Amino acid sequence: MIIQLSTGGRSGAGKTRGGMLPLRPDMASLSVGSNNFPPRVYENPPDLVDWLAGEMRSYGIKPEIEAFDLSHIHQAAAMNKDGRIPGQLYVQFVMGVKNALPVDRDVFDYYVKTVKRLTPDAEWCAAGIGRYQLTVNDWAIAAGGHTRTGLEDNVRLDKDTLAPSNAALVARTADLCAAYDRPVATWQQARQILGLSQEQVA
Amino acid sequence: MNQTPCIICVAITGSVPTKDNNPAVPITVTEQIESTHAAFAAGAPIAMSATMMRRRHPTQSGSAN
Repeated sequence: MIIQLSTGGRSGAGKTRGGMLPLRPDMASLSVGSNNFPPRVYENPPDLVDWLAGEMRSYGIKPEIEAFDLSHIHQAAAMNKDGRIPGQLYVQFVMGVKNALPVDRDVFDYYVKTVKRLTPDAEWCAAGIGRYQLTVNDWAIAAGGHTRTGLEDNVRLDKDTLAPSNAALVARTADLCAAYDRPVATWQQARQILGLSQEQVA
Repeated sequence: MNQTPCIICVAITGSVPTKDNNPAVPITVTEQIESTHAAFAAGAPIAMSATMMRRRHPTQSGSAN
């Protein structure tokens, strides 16, 4: 499978956020701009973004761009063009974080359009936070993108039911793929789509 | 209709949800490994972990000890 570690800013600050990159995971999240989070500003100053991107280049880690705002897609495309983020971009739209971008269908459509316009070779993925997880899963699968689920983003199956496991959230996402006649990517297909090596790491 | 394969990424845990929110949230290393394995079996080829736990507090240091 593919292991991705987060350099997000909820549990660390500054360069400590990249402390796990020497472990050389397949992928790591990379935020390229700032926005608000529920309790505070999610700070991603340009020098820290450049340092994290440089560490990922040094260790051969593919970044997943966390787009909390439209400007983040533009910034990622610019960094891709000038070589700070080499290769094909992989962009995750994160929607529904309180105090940041809400889950908004028109914005979602414009995100997809913007990625295709700025960086046609890119692959994109979308995640909805909290009760909007399944909504965004549905939009992304129908629109031909990839999608994120899991207990980090949402702990419920519905208003009255806690999700029993991460696997249960994956299973309902796979059911949605079936409803749209999209096969669920195997790890080999996922590695090919993302341009990762096909070696299976034990 | 787009019939290309869809990658399902599972974000197994983070620094926000806790067992108070849902006892199924994997916290310890063993729980994270088992939860990742089950999610992979259910169809997720990418697992994302936001944190490892150091003495029950989130860390990104690269070491869970």
